[in-house]
Amino acid sequence: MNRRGVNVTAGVAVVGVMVAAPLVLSGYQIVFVLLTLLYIGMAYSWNLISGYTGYLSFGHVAFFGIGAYTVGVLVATHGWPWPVAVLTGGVLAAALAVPLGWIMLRLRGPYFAIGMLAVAEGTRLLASVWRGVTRGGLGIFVTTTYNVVPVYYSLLGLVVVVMTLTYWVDNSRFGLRLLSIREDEDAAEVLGIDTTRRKLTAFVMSAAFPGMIGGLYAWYIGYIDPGSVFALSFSLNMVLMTLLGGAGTFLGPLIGGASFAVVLESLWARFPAYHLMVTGVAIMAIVLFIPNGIVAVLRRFGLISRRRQFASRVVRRSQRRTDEGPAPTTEKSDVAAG
Amino acid sequence: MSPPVDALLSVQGAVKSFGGVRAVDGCTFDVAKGSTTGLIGPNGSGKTTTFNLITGLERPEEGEIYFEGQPLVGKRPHQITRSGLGRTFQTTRVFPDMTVVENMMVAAPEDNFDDSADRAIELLALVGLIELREEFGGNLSYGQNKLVEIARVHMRPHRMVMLDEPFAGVNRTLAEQLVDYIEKMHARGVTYLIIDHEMKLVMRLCQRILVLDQGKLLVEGLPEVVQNDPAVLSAYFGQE
Repeated sequence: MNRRGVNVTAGVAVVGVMVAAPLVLSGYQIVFVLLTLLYIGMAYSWNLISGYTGYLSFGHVAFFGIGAYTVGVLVATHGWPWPVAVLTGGVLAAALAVPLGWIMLRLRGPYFAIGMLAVAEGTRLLASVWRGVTRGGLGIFVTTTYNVVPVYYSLLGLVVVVMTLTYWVDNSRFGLRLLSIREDEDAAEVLGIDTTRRKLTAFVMSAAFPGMIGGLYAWYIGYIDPGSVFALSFSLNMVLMTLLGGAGTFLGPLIGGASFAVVLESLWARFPAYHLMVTGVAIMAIVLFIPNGIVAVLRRFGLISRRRQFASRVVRRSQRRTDEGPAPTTEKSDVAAG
Repeated sequence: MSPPVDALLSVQGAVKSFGGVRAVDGCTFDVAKGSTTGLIGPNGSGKTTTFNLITGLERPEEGEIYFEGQPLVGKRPHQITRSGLGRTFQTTRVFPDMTVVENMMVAAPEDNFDDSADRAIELLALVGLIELREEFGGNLSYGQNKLVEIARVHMRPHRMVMLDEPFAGVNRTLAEQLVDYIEKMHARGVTYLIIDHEMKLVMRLCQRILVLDQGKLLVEGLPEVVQNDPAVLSAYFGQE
């Protein structure tokens, strides 16, 4: 079996285990896995824009909150079925990302990061003052039913979709173009890459998923208010998880999100008073010792391939050609001397 | 002003200031189709800024620029590149976290994957980097980066390529390879505009030389004529 076959088989096996998990796990354990899926999904969403293009969004919780409020308003006030409301949340977040990205993606580096922070605060304030729709600080009681298992499966489905999308991005020329923006945006433009269009596409994709995940969160938690679904800490966690795993990689958000959930849960359980402090120390340790994330460490030890699939395609092609006849190469020593 | 009929590229009265300094100050010149033209001048004479104006990285305050009769001012860099005009940078801009092959593929037009792959391999073979195709850009030497950048700009079938100091900091053997390569591509119909301080190579490659000084065109002509022009010597050495 080739590498691709192994990967697909492993992926299907993991999804199979995840599908069966709620049948054997305890209630607490299901909730833990559910929240882990939520973290992983959010990390993957953030990775699509910030990991690949290097535009670090510190306000991605805006899309999460928009999705949560879409479900809150449509389900509680208008009696929509929750799956339709969740999808609507995703569509609405993506639709809002178009004009928002058009404006915000003109800002570079720290200006974009701070600008997005302001956007998230703006949406939180809007949810607080738009009382006619959001009931302001009173919040919305979305549901009184217990929806853990349906939310679990919905999140699992979303994570599979966003991972598949990321896998495609990671192995496509579209993804390579996004990476070139992260590396050197002006150079990318001069090579003929329409950086604005690429960035905007990635931004819209990265907004749609938090919209749906936020909606599912609202249906799971049952009550939302501006402070809980537009929390700054959520945006920061997305950054943290992705950087921990490895930004701009396929496996980074999975590894980062899962380890984040495990660490957070064990710290919370063992040091209820100090867990935030320990988290802070953990962040410092990550930045100091594995600035490029866990994926970079695994790559260094050869446990994950550094090579993207389509690059291998080019290389295989060149090997076939050199097998057929000698390529007109010049002396390598001349080149190395340069 | 109207676009000239016979010139591939035409810069007409371009002006660009930074603060109080007029880096390009009413610069006017044409580049003939099928030529290899040298753009020389002392440091700070506005050569690179002129490249930036042509490729859309900077916008001129005054003046017009035409490529194949089409106005370029106001277009975005990728649009200008897609119209058939490519460039390299003085300090190389190879993407460090991408392999050599990825650097090539990312610059390919959005058409058939296999055609692009073949082109990438052919170009890498031409500049002698086929062995390093899976090396990351950040691990290459300065000279190798120059080669990747020059190979990469040819991933698109440009009708004109502008090279900003392709020979600077490059050893003799490598520079000779570059000259061979440029001559080869020129024979295939690519028009070149080359900035460099390596006079011997510029004189050898170019049929025509443009000399910039203080943001203006000082002299233009055949290499041997320009070389001995008193105004050029004065600009370079401060002679009367």
